[in-house]
Amino acid sequence: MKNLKPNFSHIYIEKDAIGYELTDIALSKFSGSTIIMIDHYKDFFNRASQDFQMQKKSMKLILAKKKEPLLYPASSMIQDYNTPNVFYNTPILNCLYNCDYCFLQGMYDSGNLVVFVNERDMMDAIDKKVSDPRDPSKATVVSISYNTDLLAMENILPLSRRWINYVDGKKDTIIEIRTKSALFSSIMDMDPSDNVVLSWTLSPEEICMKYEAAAPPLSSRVNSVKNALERGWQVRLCFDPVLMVDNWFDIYSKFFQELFEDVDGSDIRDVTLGVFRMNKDYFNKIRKRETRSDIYFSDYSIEEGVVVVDSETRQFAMNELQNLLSKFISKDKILVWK
Amino acid sequence: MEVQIQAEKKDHSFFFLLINQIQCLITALKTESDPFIQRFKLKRDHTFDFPCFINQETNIALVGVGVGKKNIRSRINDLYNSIGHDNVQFINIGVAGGNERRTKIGQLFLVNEISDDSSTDKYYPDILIDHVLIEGPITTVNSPIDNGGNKYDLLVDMEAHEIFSVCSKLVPLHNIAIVKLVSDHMDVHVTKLDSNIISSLIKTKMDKIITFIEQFKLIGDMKSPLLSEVDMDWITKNKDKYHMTAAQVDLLINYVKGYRINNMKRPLPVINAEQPRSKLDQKNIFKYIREELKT
Repeated sequence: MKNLKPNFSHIYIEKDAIGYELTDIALSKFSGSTIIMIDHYKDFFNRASQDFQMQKKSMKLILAKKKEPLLYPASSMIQDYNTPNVFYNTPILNCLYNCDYCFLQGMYDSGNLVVFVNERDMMDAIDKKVSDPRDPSKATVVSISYNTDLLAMENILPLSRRWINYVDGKKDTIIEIRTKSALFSSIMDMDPSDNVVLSWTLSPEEICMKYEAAAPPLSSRVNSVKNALERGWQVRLCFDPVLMVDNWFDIYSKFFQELFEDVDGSDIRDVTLGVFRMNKDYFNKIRKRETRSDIYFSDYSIEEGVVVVDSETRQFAMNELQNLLSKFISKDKILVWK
Repeated sequence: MEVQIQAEKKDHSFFFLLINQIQCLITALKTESDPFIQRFKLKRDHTFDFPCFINQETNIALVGVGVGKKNIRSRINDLYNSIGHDNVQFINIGVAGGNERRTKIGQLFLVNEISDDSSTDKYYPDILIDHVLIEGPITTVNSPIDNGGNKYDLLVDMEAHEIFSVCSKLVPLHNIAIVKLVSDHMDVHVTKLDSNIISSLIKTKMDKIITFIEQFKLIGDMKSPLLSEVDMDWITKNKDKYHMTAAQVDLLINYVKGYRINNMKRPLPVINAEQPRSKLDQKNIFKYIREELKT
């Protein structure tokens, strides 16, 4: 943005993060950046009086060493993956994109990005968990892109590539890389792995333009999906969140119709479907920060601390959209958050 | 006595009433202040019992806090409370001692890390603006350093840490800047610095400082309230007319914000319902207003 420093004009490095390969890669990539040493990433990331949205206009990079916990149980906000062995970790905090409906704006006080450089420790934590699963008959699934968009960072730091290399060939371990990026090209040279699910969040073009302004347009994401499928990757499509805008049914009908003219539904591993929902505290925090998104000024109900489209409307919408989707993809592959 | 203090505060508020955004320069020495007072044509506001100057046309103010930390909190808070809104930028401008190996006399810095010799707390300003100044850290000390200051990385002063501590409780971090001009190399010359030398150093860099202040203002301009005064008046008018409860007013504000996001230029709808005669009536009117704001 004009008059502002470019993203990553400043890199804040935790003393413990020195000596890691990812730190060296980041520093060589941004050799012109101002480097500031810090004791702990929270000294910078958790400061009082930050303005998330202003910082998004000129994001800074923080390199840090992740301490325990290195793995978290899956949130109740995600769909049931038919296994209790579901976890997420946080190789990065925050996202290059800044979608209006994203919970990160309410979760963190800072709009800056934290990259944890000790990925090996996070990988070891997964190995340990896989060796003692809740349900030994099922694979362990780890979302590594839950608090970020990992693939969107690939041209900056090759994290997805390194995670794919780590997990490839491992028994009973699956990682999910969820993204809105069009950067499949950055890992296109890799062989597809049975241990990796590449998940693209797709929304109708109207929704992309209004609520996902910093993310690539729908057509670029769909191209990435097609390329990944052609090369034999397991692909999940995430229609999540579905936003209940005016004429939502017509908008999503047209969107599904056009999408599955381009993409063969039978090639897709599965799809997820869910309405907008958010932890109440995050929601209120975002609202208080004078957001410019109308999402936060619609009517919702609150269910067990979660701001969500009221039950009747959402059941109806999910059923309708599930029916629409089932024309293109078998019903057992549609994972719905109701 | 209490009545007198309140009356004084009211006077200050009146002074700043018409100002929507203000840049407040903070200086320690009179000799640091004078070049800016002249350049920005600032006038003394005698309602404050400390040096406070303002130009109401340019919305630039200057507060003198003296040397060291003693008066910083009270003076900045006093000024801030008088302004009556939070769209304020604080810019501390002043001289600093510089590490001889890494700085030159007259060199201008934008501070990106603030330590204090007597505290473990560190501060990191949010540097969003695309400026051309050299950046570096500063350490705030309790007394002038004249022994060469080898233990200090770059800069030392006697106010920055306290200024940042106070201002960061009042405004977002991106609205605070610390700009320092190297006046000495922490040697015996520090005791010989006279007002002419300091004024002359500041005047030499005045254009660069002003360019920074102007650039910095753009950051403040980027954040304006979603609802205008007209919108707020509309809310107040309808709240009173239809006897809304506190909970309804909270909802109404959110509805109006939703309307404003989708209709940036359109005025709020005229509500012509009759005055409610019962609770049910009142609830129905509120629902009606809600529907009107959905359009």
